[in-house]
Amino acid sequence: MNRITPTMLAEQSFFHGMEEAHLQSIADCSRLEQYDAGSLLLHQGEEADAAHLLLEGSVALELTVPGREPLVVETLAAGELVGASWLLPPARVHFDVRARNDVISLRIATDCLRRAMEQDSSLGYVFCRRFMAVVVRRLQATRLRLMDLYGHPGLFLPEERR
Amino acid sequence: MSNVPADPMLPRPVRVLERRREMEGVVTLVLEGSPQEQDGFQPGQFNMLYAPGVGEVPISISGDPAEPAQLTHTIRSVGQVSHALTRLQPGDQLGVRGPFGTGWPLSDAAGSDLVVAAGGLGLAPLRPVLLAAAGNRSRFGRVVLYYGTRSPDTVLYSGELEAWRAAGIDVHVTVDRAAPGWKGEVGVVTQLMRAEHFDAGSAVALLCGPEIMMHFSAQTLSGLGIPQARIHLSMERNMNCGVGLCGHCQFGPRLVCRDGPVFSLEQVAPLMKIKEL
Ligand SMILES: Cc1cc2nc3c(=O)[nH]c(=O)nc-3n(C[C@H](O)[C@H](O)[C@H](O)COP(=O)(O)OP(=O)(O)OC[C@H]3O[C@@H](n4cnc5c(N)ncnc54)[C@H](O)[C@@H]3O)c2cc1C
Repeated sequence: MNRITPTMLAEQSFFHGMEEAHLQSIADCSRLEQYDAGSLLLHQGEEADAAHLLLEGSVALELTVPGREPLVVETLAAGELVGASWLLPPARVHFDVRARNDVISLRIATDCLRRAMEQDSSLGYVFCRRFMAVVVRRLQATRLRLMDLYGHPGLFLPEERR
Repeated sequence: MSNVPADPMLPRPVRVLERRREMEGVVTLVLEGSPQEQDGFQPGQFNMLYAPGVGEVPISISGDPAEPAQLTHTIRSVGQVSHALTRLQPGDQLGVRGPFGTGWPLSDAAGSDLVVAAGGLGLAPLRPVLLAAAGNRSRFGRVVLYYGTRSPDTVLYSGELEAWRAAGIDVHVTVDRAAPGWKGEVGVVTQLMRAEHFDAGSAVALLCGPEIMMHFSAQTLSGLGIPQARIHLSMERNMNCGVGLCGHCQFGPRLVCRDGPVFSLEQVAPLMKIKEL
């Protein structure tokens, strides 16, 4: 019923320009899922067996620490790929991923995807390049947050320009 | 008497009508305007505010251009003069010179989508734009606000965001660090910016915040297709005279007080050393 086709994937910017055979391999590992607001797409500490490409809605990455309210580390909106821990061992989910509103996602079974990438290293290369771009973008965003971007401008200017 | 142009170097005495504490160290002062204020101001312009016996600093006008008789300024206490200004109480007197500087190019944006990106206190000089857009919504296409700040307790004008939404402005707010109870976005302001929010072919973008925030926001908006000539930034370099005489605020070949504070990215990109644009 919810069969994913290469054409459906090609509409998502993450997959733009990928060749049909690669899209077919990924489509074969994917299905559409719906999550109600407040429910979890991924559970912190569990085996990382899925990545989600958000088609509608947005999610919060929450870190649960005993004795504290869950802390939202980052929010991600439609178009984003969520779930990065599956590629490398020990493949455990780092954060709870909670739907902030009603979410539709493309769930990619990562065992299936990993097998496909091992059989076809050109798929592996193409997917990992795109995956890396996502990781780098998030790393840059995290660095900007560490810099306290919105503090008093004087903090960032050399003395002669203040 | 009222036909004689006022000496731009001479502060006019005005009184504080209202003082609102926005957050730790940040205060909004509503001042009783003098007859000059009736002439109005352009969103993006600033006044030189003189704290008696302490000194004078440039502060953007953050009030509603439709109500020019009420002079509104939002001030963060960072040093001697700004600290003295934030301590003023209703009834206290201060000096005002202005308005000075170029405003945001709102007439260029009429009929087009308006993209407003603010960081931290940078929302203050953009508030007149948002109030003008909310008051005359049909003047623009889509109006989108991207606002990033450190934490939920540093969201400026938090009580007004809903009214802006209700007026048809697409308001997006994100914080670097969430706190319990925060239901909004968490991430850096550039992560809010998405191609589907505006028509890059015609949109006009207005940016204000620390330069580092404007640098990355300009890079992102430019990457989403808005040309450099239609991305405008408010360069809040420190200044003295406010009227282009002393040269203190020289910025490359320009003076921020006279030629700015609003510049297009095309004008300032080489000076900001924005790479890969
Ligand atoms: C056009 C313009 C509009 C402005 N609008 C506002 C506003 O709406 N609200 C507001 O709170 N402030 C605004 N500012 C900044 C404000 O003018 C300064 O914070 C003020 O001049 C600081 O004076 P001070 O005596 O309190 O502190 P100082 O003792 O002069 O400075 C304290 C510290 O801040 C640094 N500093 C001061 N001003 C700047 C600056 N402009 N850029 C970078 N570093 C600086 C100094 O080098 C020093 O490290 C604006 C500045 C300009 C040029």
